Formats: sequence, C-alpha cells, structure tokens
Amino acid sequence: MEYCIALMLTSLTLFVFQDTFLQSIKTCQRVASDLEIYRVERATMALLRENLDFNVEKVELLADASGEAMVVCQETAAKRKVYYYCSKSPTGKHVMTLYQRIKVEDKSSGINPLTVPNMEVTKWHAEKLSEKSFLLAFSIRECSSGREKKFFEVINLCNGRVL
Amino acid sequence: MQWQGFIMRQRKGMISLSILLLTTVLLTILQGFFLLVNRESEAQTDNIRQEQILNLGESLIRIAGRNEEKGNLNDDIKLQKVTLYPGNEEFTTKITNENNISLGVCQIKIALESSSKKWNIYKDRLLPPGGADNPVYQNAIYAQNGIAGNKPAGVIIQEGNSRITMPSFDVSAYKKYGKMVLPAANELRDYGLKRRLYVNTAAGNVAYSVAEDTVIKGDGVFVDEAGITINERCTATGNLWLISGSGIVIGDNVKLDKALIIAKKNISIGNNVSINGIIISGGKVTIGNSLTMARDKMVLEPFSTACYFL
Repeated sequence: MEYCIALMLTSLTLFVFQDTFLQSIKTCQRVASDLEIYRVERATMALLRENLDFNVEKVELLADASGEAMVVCQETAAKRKVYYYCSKSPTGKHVMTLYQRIKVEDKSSGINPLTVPNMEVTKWHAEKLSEKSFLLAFSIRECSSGREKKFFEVINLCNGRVL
Repeated sequence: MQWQGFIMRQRKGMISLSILLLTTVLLTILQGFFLLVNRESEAQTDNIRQEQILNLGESLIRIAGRNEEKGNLNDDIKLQKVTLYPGNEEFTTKITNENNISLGVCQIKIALESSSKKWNIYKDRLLPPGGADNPVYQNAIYAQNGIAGNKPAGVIIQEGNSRITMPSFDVSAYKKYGKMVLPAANELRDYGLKRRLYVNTAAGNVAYSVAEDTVIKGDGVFVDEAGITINERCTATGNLWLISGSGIVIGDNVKLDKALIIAKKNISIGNNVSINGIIISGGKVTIGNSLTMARDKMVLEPFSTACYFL
C-alpha cells in the first residue's frame, strides 16, 4: 500500500514537472559538454603557453596549403622547430584537430594531436600583435552535443620575437 | 499469523526509509555536481594564475633586463604586493641583480612568491672574464707561457713575458650562476644549445668532452673547472664560449665559427683546425698544422642567455 502511494506520488511529480526534469537533464548535458570544452582548452593552452612563452626564439605565422593558419616556432634549443596547425584527423571521426609537429634537425618529424577526437577545432587563426606577442583565436566544438565555444589567447614571447 | 505480525512490525517506517534513501541519492548527485564544478573552478583558477604569473614574470624580466643594460637597475628591489584574482592571492615580488665583476656575470632574478607557491625567473648576461676591454682580448691568440707549433699568419699573437697578464677569475664561481649542466651527446644531437650558461657540476676531476663528429648548433657558454675537449671533426656554428679552469683540447679538423676560448692552463689545437674568435691561455698554446685563425671581436659582445623559469 505504502509503495503504491509512493510510486503514485513519484509518477505524479514526474508528470507535472516533466518539462523541468527534461530541461534539467539537457542542462546537465550542456554543462558537461561545456566543462569538457573548457578542459580541452585549458590543457591545450597551458601547453602552448608554456612552450611558447619561454622556449621560443622565433615565431612565424604562416598559412598551410589549405589556407589554415600555421604557427612555426624556432625553439631556443637550436635544433628544434615546432609547428602548430589544424588538420583533419586521419582516423576516427575525421574532425579538425590541433596538432603539434616537432622537427629535430636531421631527423623525421613527430606529430602529436593536442585535442581529443570528440572535439573539433575550427576557425584556427593566428595574428601578429607586436614583435613580442601574437593572438591565437580558435573555436572548440564538442561533436556529440554540437556545443561550441570561441577562445582568444594572447601569447607573449619572453625570449623570442614574431617575424 | 505470527510471521505476518513479524513482517508488519518490520515494515514500520518503510516510507521514511524510502524517502531517506531517495534524499541520500539526490544529495549525493548534488554533492557530486558541486564537487565537479568546484574542481573545474579550481583548475580554471590555476590556469588563469599560470597565465598571470607568466605575463607578470615576462614583463618584469624584460623591464629589468632593459634597465640593467642602461645601468639603471638596483641590486635589490622589493615591489609592492600584488593581489591576483580569482582566488584573492597575494604575491610578493622581488628583483635581484647580482654582479660578479671579475667573472663578468650579471644575473637578474625575479622572485614571485605567494603563501603556497614560488616562482623564480632568471636572465644572465656574461662578459668575458675581466671585461671585454681587458688588453688580452685585443689579440687573436694570447698565451701567458708562450706558443708552440705552427703559428697562423695574419693575426695578432701575444706571448707571455709582456706586461699584459691574464685576468684573474675563479672558474668555480660560475657554479653559482649556472643552472644547467653541460650537455650530453644526445642533448647536443637532439636539441642543440639553448642560449644558456652550462656549468659542469659533476663530482670528481673529469673534463667535459664533446664526442667526435658532433655538430654543435646554437649559442652557449661551456664552463668546466677540470677541462674541455672538443674532439675530432666537431663543428660549432653558433656563438660558443669555452671557459676552463684547467686546459682545453681542440681535436683535428674542428671548425668553430664564433668562439671565445679561455683556459687557465694549456690549450692544445690539432691539425686542420679553423677558428673564428679569440684564444686566451694562462699556460701554453700548442698549435698543430694548418690552423686557420681569424680574430672575431664579436665574441667579446655580452652574451645574454635566454630567460628561464625555475
């Protein structure tokens, strides 16, 4: 008897507030997606900032064959060049992924993705602000939910300059 | 009937228990959500803090470096406390400018310190020991105890017994400023030099040696009390300073494009060596066949290291 009443009350509550419940679930999903986007942005930018601020001697802002921005960095370590660029991932969902390519002189390059496969990096753009700083702008889109956030980051170079 | 009575007794408070259970589950979900948001917020704060520290340190070291070059930097400057948000974290900032005139080293240190964290940013500026104006550096080769072997033609060579003496400096004092050990073979191969001061801090009296056929790319200052050996067929393409508390050995077919070579004791140069720069020895210089030598006064320019975080 008590169970029946409890079940009835629960069903009634769910029925009355179904829109609110559904909305709450959707909001939670959106929050989770946003948190994931911010997490990816933080991880990516923390790495980029640390690499670029103190370990770079020269930065060139170029465009690759498809017109996408490419940041080419000559590290203070004279034999290393690092490239940051966006390209379609060759496997999985084939989404635009941010890559870091490290080229050591007289050796083949090593390429690492900086974003996870379910995140797409779009509108990757680099612009010179001064001889010591440049702007990185990009959007991160969570593929499953379609949520997208735009980010802007000013990178200051302590040891280097922007060509 | 007895067992029915028993069940009924046990069912007393079942609704309360169900509600309690439901409440617990809901509260756990809520708490989990808050923990998640809290952790994200902390991570975001750390991220912002990292950016603030990098920007603050970068600005301070740039200004301090500029002032030091103009001779306007005091030895010890304590700036007013800065409060960084989010987190309302107070930071003390201190700029230290340490000069060692006999070594020619000037080290700027920016110390950023909060109650829980500490960052130090350094930049070093090196002059040849005794200063670039010291008369010994007016020569291409200076040897306090004379030169043996085939002297190269067309360069100014000064041998001992003149009024000029080698500047006095303590090589071990570089250890205080050198935050990097001398590069291993794989570091030279995969990274090159990082525009830094490299000091041998290894125990024992083992001289630093660069392996044969190594291409040393980039700029750097090598300091070793026990001696330095650049083996056969090595090439250095950048600005390279070799400072030794003992001797220096340059192997056959070595090519140094821009080098300041200073040894407190003897320097030995092999056959078919090419050096652009200046060689200073507190002992004897022995030269092999076919040394191509050109005095390059650019090696006397101050050597500014890259800024680095510790």
